[in-house]
Formats: sequence, C-alpha cells, structure tokens
Amino acid sequence: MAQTQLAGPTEHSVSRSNRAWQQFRRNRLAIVGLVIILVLWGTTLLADYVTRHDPYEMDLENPLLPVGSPGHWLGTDNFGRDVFSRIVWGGRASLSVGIVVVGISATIGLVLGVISGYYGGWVDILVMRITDLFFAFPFFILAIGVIAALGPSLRNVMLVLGLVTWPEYARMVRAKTLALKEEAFVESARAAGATDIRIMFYHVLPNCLGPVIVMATLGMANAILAAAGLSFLGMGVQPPEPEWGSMLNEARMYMRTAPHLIIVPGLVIMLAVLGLNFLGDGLRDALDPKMPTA
Amino acid sequence: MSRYILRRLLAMVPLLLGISFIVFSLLNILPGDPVSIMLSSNPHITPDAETIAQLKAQYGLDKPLMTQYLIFLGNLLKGDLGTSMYTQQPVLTAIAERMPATIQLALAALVISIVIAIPVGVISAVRQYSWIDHLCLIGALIGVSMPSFWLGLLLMLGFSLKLRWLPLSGMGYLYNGLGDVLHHLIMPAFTLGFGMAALLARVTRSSMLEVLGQDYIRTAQAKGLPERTVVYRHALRNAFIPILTVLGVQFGYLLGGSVIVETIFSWPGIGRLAVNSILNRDLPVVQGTVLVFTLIFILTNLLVDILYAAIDPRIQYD
Repeated sequence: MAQTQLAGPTEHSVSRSNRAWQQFRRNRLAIVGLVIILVLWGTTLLADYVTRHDPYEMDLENPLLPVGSPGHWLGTDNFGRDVFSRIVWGGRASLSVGIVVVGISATIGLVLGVISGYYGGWVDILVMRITDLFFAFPFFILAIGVIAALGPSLRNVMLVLGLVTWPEYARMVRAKTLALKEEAFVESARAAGATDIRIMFYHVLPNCLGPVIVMATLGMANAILAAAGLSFLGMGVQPPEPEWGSMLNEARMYMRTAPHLIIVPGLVIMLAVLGLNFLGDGLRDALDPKMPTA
Repeated sequence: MSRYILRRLLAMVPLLLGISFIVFSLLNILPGDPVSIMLSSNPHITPDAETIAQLKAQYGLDKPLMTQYLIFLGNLLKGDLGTSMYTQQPVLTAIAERMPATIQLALAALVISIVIAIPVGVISAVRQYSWIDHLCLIGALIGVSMPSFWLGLLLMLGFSLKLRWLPLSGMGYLYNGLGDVLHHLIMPAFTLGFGMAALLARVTRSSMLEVLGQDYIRTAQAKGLPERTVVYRHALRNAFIPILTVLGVQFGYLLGGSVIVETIFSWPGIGRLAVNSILNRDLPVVQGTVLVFTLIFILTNLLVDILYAAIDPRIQYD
C-alpha cells in the first residue's frame, strides 16, 4: 500500500470513486488481473468465432498430437479432439461456475447478514449459530459430502458451492450492518418514515458494497478452483463435456506420451484464478484500505 | 485454564449436534434416494421394489425421520458409524486403518508449509516494498491460485517420469527404512503444503509488519541489538499469535486438499477413501469420512484456541 502515501495535492478535488479508480490504476497487478480475465472471458464468449473445430469432434487418426501441430495449435487429446476448442468451450463451464456460485452465496449471505445485524435478538443468534456450524466443516469436505448425496453434475456443483460459501458474506455484512445502523443517515431515514426493508436494502446494503465486491472477486477465484477440483475427482462435469478440471483428469492416463494435455488445462485454470486474485487484491486496496491485506 | 478448556468443550456440544445432523441429512434427508443411487451403481442387481424395500429396512430408512436421527446419534455415541455398503466392513474400522496415512501426509505438509512460509514472510516484512517483497507477493498469489491437482501432476511429470528420482505414487513403510518413507512422502506433502505456505507467508508478512512498528522493537533496535535478534527473538515471537490462528483455520483447507492429493498420488488415506466411496455411492462411508474430517478440524481449532490462550497472557480465559 505504498501508493496510498503518494496521493497528490489534488486529493480534495477528486471524488471518492475517482480516487478508488486512481488507486486501482496504480496497482499494476490488478490491471494485469483485469486483462487476463477479460481475455479469458472474451474468448469463451466468442467461442463460435475463435475455434475452428467442434470440441466433441473426434479424429481417431490423429490422437495425442503435440502443441504446435498444423491445424491444432494446442494439439489434440486421446480421441483426437482439438485441445484449443475444448479449452475455450470448457471455459464456459468453469467461468459460469464462478458467476453462479458467487451469485447464490452473495445473495443468501447479504440478505441473512443484513437481517441478522439489523434486527438482532434471536434472529441474529439463529443466523450466527448457523454460520458457526458451516464454519465448523472443512469447506471442500462438506462440498464433496453433499455432491455424494445429490449426484455429480455441473448444476449440483454450482448449487453446493453456493450453499456452503454464503456464511462468509453473512458475517461480514452483519458486522457492517451493526456499525451502520447507528449512523445518522439511518436514523434520519427512519425519522422520515422509511420501512425496515427500505432501510436495509436502500441505505445499509449499498454501503457494504465495497467489501462485498472484493469478497465476490476472491470468492469467484475459489469457486473456479473448487469446481475444477471436483470435476477432476469425477464429481462435477461429466465427460465428454469439456471442462478444465475433467480434461486434466482424463489426461492423467496419457501423461507420459502427451504432457501438454496436463500442462495446458492446468495453466488455464491457474490463469483464471490468478487473474481474479490479482484483481481482488487490487480492488481491496482501492475500495477498502482498512481491510487487512493478508 | 482448566475451566476455560471445560467451557470450550461444553460449547462444542451444540456444535457437534449440528454437525451430526448435517452429516445425517446427507444420507437421509437430501433429495436423491440413496438406495436407488446405490443400486444403480451395481449392475449385478436389478432393482425391483422388494430389494429396495428390504435395503431401506436394513438401513432403517423406512422409519420416521426423527427416529432415524436418534438411532444415528445413538450409534455415533457408541462409536458405530455403520457398515460400508460396498465392502461390508465397519466404517470406523475402514477409517481407522487409513488414519495414520492421512496424519503422516497432513503433518508433513504442515511442516513444509511452515518451513517455506515463515522465512519468506519475515524477509518480505523486513524488506517491505523491495524487489524481494514484490517477488514474494507474486509468488504467494501464484501459490494460492495454483490448483493442487495440477501442481501434483506437474511434479509427477518432472520428478517421476522425466528425472525418475521419486516414485510415482503410493506410500513408503518404515520397515523399508526411513528413506523409503521420505522418498514417497516428499512429493505429496509438498503438493499439499504449497498452497498453504502461500497463504501463511502473507499472514506472516502482515503480522510481522504490525509488530515491527511497535515501540519495543524500536527500543530493542535502539539499544543496539543485532537485527537478527530483534527480528527473530522480539518480533517473530509476538507476530506468532495471528499466524497460529490462521494455521488452525487453514488446517481445514489442508484436510480438504488431502482428498485431492491422496487421489493423485494413490495415497492410502481417508481422503482417497472418501473419493472412492463417493464414486462407489457408498454413502455410510461418505458420512463417516465427512464426520471424521470435521471432527479433526474442530479439535485442531480447539487446540489452537487453547494454545493461543496459553501463550498470550493478554487473552483472558475466564
């Protein structure tokens, strides 16, 4: 956070969001992260235009072609399927996991957190005991346990990861709400006759947005990592559907002859997660300087 | 102190009840009929209505939910985690057999992560904003972002397949000598410990930075103590409390990671048992492994809290 001290004499003339943007721009890692994310997501969105092969199209005459082969610049897998196409199409599964999981967990967490902090009393006690219970489980273990009961599929992975990660948001929003509800602007809203619902969703929650965005970015990184891990273990996306984690799992048998099948999907997972982590870190410095950087 | 420990243990009772209920609901409440799921994985049985009813009765799934839970809880208290639907082995025996392997792996990973993280974190803090600090920051972010299954496979590719230095998979045994144990242990333990090392290094750095700004550090420097003594004797010792807390919480990630690492390296521990039982739809074993992992996790955190109270006189425990 050396950059904080560099804020120049124009500090008073720039608005708060402007200052956050300047802070963010100085953080080169965050920009790198943003670029990685935009490139990866852009490529998967434009999958129809950037790939020349069907990701399911087999070519048993040309299996395990190495990187740089003509027509298949990232090579082919054991069924002769184009690795680049599978990576790009597989990105849709991995990246949508990130969005859906964060959508589910942030929504549940925000609503329960703000209600818990705002009303206090037994509601608060109940919600906090439930979060305690969730924190008592090692997260990945609980996730695989629920997947075992529900059966493996991409939909179940999204559902499970969303349902086991909301307590983090709830705790943070609750803590923020406890502080905010004593503020003058909440007091005046109440005096002006605003309902509890209006106060919670129009006055309190928008003020929690900074840390929530940071948490959501880092949460997306963790969700992508966990989903790829579940698919790698055979508990997520099922073959032949392309997905980064399950591609790695399928490639284990051909490690000796075709190491690129291991290297490429893993590298892409790491880039996606790294991009989000860089971005989340930069956003934390920009939006919420008080939050510890650990 | 003993009163504090007693109170913490008592506070665990409702938590354990909650945990047991969630684990119970994996088999008994969640949508998805466990008996049909189980039968669908076995091609030798044609699931007619009679077989299903019989199996349901065998596992008590035909009783009212509350009764089922009380039976489950009663069995748990007796140490009965049920029997495997696949091997017919008692679940507790299956887990106990594999426990030493998982403990060996987890402890080795813990040691590796501490050995990497503490020096890296300390150097980053002492040389804040230097190129070495930036390098460590990027390294830590890469470490956190690297999927453990990918790291494991890359290490296998390099050290087992190309260089042929280390065995591809499996566990070593003491009767073959300590060398055999370490030979098999190093790659899985490094894979498991690496991500944790990255997190730990960042916590060490921020905790050290906080301590290094304190007055007593300036005093120690002012009286002319060598930097080494100031950093390691005075600062690190006080920076250790947040590190310890994070270590406890991160242990959960280590246990979760062991599931993946044990699968990659064919390590005969509980994590691999969990994965195999999920793939075989052997729900009693899944329940048992989830329960045991969770118990290990909360006991570790209890231990960390007690240690924490013991080493920091500022923390009141009554």
